Amino acid sequence: MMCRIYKLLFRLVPVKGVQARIIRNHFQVCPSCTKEMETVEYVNDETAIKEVIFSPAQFENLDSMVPGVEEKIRQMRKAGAKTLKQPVLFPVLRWAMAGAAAAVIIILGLTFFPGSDSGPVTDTQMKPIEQDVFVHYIKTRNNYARTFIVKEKKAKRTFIWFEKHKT
Amino acid sequence: MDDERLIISECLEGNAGRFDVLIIRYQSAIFALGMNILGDPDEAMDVCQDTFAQAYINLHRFDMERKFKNWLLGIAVKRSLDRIRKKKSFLAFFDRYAREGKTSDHFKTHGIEESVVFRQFLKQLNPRERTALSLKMNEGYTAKEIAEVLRCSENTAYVHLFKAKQKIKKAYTAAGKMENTEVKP
Repeated sequence: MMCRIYKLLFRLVPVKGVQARIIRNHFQVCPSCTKEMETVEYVNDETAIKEVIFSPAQFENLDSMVPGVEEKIRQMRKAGAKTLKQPVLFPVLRWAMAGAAAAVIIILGLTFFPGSDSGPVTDTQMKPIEQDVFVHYIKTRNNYARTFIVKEKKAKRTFIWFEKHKT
Repeated sequence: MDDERLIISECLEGNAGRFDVLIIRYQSAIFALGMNILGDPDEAMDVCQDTFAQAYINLHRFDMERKFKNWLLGIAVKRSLDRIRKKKSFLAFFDRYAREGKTSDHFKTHGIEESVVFRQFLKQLNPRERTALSLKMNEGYTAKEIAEVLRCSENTAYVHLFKAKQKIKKAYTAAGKMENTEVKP
């Protein structure tokens, strides 16, 4: 059962790190999976695989490529050869930078998002502001409620909310 | 490796002829890699010459702390994969010869006898898997060294190798343990 799950995971999860872990921790260790790999008896024998691919030894007698390379260099210089592109950073660092950039964008978004204001201002935090709105009283369930009026500095908006008194 | 650094230093000082030593030293390895990725001797030859030409032009950018062969193989892999991406004729080439069943003149010129086994099995792999397998089998590279050439993570290189072997296993099973046979014209 576990073998099937691992095989399914290996097929479905495209992340190479996960696949490598599955290979190391299961496929190469589980007796039934290793036996399956050995069905064709010499698949694991690297000699057999070498029959499938070309090896440098087959081409020891090739003519020297020096004249061809010299010609290529002439052509490339004539065409204004471009220098090799080097990767800026190793893949892991690039991912880390992308993650950091995403985190900064999220934080900035949360900071400037209109709904991100921190909750009601308590009595001790409230500072005197110019008010063009006055609330005499508000009652909730026949009890006087704590009333707060906050006016945004830049925007012309006034917030009024109330809470029932804590008993 | 020290003599390579000496040769490269001499090239950079203006003794261009010394680069020939490196070409002759590594041409068979680069050509074999090109054949494993591209499957066509003419394409492989072109890529091989391109690789050495690029290496020569950019020799001033080579990091002496690295192995020159790794750097060369990295250039060859990139050129080969770019070529496949542009041409997408690899499978078409093999399919054509599978149908006609004859060895191309190019193969004969280079003394290379194509085998049915090669055509059938290697084309099951994608270019990166062929690259990883070629580097593993011919150069004895570890997953880490393959990752350096392929410019990917070690885990990715490891998975490429595993999948390559798995696909060859399937092809072997389907072929019923086929022996090497030479294609006759």
